[in-house]
Amino acid sequence: MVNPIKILIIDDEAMLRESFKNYFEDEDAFVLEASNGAEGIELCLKERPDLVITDLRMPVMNGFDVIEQLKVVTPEIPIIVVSGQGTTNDVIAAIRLGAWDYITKPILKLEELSIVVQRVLERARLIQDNIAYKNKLEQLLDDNRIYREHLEELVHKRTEQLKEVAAKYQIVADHTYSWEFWINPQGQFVYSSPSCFRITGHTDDEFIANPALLHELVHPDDLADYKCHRHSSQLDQEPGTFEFRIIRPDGTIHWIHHDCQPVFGDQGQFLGIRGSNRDVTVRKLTQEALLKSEKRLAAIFDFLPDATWAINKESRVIAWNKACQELTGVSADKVMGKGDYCYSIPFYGSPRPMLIDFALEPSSARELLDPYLNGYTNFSIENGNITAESSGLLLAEGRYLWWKATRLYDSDGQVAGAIESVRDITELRLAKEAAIASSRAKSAFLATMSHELRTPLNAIIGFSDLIRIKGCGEINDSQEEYLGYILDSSKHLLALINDILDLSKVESGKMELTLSKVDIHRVITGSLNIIKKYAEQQGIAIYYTLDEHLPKVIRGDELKIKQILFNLLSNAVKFTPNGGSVTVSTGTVTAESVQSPPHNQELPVGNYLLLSVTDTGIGIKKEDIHRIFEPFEQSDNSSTRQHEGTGLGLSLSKMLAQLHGGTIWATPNPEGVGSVFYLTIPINQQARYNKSLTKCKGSNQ
Amino acid sequence: MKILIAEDDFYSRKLMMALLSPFGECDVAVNGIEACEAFEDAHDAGTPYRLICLDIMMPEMDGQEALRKIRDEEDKRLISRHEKVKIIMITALDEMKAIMESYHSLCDGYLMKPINHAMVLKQLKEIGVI
Repeated sequence: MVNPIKILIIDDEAMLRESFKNYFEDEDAFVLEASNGAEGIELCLKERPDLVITDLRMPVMNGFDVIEQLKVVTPEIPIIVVSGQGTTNDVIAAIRLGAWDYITKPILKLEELSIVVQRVLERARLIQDNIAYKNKLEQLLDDNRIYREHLEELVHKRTEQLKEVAAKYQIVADHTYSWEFWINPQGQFVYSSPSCFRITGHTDDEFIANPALLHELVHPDDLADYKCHRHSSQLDQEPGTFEFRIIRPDGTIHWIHHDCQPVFGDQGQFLGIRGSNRDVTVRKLTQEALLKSEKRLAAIFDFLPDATWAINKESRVIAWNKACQELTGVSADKVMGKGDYCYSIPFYGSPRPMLIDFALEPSSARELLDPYLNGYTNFSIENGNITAESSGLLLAEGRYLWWKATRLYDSDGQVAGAIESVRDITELRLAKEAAIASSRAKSAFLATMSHELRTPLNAIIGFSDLIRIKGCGEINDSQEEYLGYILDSSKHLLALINDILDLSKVESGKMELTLSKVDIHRVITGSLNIIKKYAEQQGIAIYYTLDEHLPKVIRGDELKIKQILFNLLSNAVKFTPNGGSVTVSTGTVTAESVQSPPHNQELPVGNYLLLSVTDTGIGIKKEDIHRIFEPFEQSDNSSTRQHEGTGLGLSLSKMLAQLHGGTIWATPNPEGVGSVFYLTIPINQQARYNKSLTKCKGSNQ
Repeated sequence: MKILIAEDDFYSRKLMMALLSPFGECDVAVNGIEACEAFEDAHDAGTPYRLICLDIMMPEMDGQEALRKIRDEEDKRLISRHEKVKIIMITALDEMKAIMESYHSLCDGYLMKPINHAMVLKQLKEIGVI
């Protein structure tokens, strides 16, 4: 033994204690002594001996009491009782109380004691071990329980998590916009997201129940492709993408974009096909519409009679129409996508910048184009449209080309490229030159005619007048009368010639207006002063009212306006019988408000001077209202002789008014007798009559 | 008063002579060149014209050019302003505008065809030769 055994001996006999002590100390045990029970219990509690040997018969507290008490406080410590011979009852009682063994006094053989002690100690050790083992076992059981509980908790938690994740994926799968699916190697749907209903009109359950359903929906035209795809994905286990049409239960056709790939397990075993279908009908239809629109635009582009081509931002050709092919002899496929000014070669023989480059990059191309700019004439830029003319090398010398180029923008307003058109204007230009030459010839002819016709009249009128005023001596009354006829006829002829020349000038576009500020009030009063003389002779009253809102001046040719006015006034006086009246009124009107009168001319929007001359004359028949403005027409042809005049006055006046941007028309006088002639001339002058001035001069009756 | 009439049309020339003879001695020229020569000759002879009537439309040299040449010649000869010849341009209606714009400062008056006695009288008075 490593540690000596601690033995407590409780006995009232010192000698006995001594002999025990000696014996045990010889056995290398440590011996404690107590002379009575109380002391023994105290020591036992204090020292915790390995073994207690107690006498049964002791004063004050006997061995039974000791055993009883020790059994309560230190049950693990073995107790051996020492009893006298023949006291078997004592021993039985002691053992019942809890003693482990006994020794009988007198102890004859100490070896016997040793055996008992050894046995008890062995038993105590066994019990101790047993207890320790039991404790350990309990400990283990306890640990095991805790571990199990923890494990259960973990499993529970993990299960919850898994449930949550699974629910999440289920939600994701069930709410995907596209139709997600998984088809097993046997071709059956293992999973189909409910979105298949939105796309096909059939539920996921239907697809799962009927593996052939999709096959039945496929448009007959796409069935071959569909089968081919199914074959390659299902049997060859290859990923794939393709688009096909399905016919929904309502008969509508939808486009499906299909993506799929094979799925394999851990061991590489084929698990089927996993994929998704998207409804791309809108995209497909848009694409088709776009394609159609592009085709249509291409057809339109090709139809254009002018050779036209377009370039992108990188100056590469993106369009080259049929007319361009015909003009240059270069087909579209030769130039499409090419840059480096390749489009200029057919025109100039070598690459060089053209108007289209200038349109694309005005700032940098200006320098590039500059050396070539003098090859162009009539170069102009208006609202980004560049036009110019030139004679190109493309065609035989002497051909004229007209070019037009502009920038192209995309829908965001960004520069996308440029476009240029070219037109062979040779014929047009030659025709124009011929027209100009012919016009010049006509003009020269008119000038000559004017001179040649009027020169003899000058002598006729001059000499007739000279004789009539008796510049060459006396003449008789008849001679004077006849000279008067010569003079009147000559003047009439002169007026006729002047009017005809004016008319042909206007018609040939040779009549030019000398525009200046025209004081309309002064022009009217001036004309009235001349006409008054004639009117007074016939007793015709002249009335004139001036609109005070009338602009002080309008823009026009004063001489021509006078001519018109004089014509209208002299007509009015001419056709008004004695005692009648002629009224001149002025005012301003807008173009819209003069649309109603019976004339066929549309006037541009704006403000107009409106002048009316009302007479109380013979009037105009409704059907003649337009005819009177034709040359040599009068209301009543029979009256031509009766009312002198060239017959050209009104038509000339109307032309002059139209040259001013205005017009003339006539209506029967609403008062019942006579007619009203209206003249409109556009006003583009801001100055207006001063009111006080109007009061002084405005009303001239 | 010495008067020169430049007019290519024979009858018009005769008319001008008939109208102007009462006011002085009339010479005639049939175009601008003749008019210029006559103008210079008269000066050289020391008997310059007081009045020249120039028709605008004449062959060889027209009235406008003759007007300019005569005025240039006067400048060359250092003729003072008040001693310069009075020039009346004879025009047709169409030509009025051009003359008024271009030759206003060079000529003294205008007569518009057809010409009659009253017009001539009025114009002569206006330019102060009668």
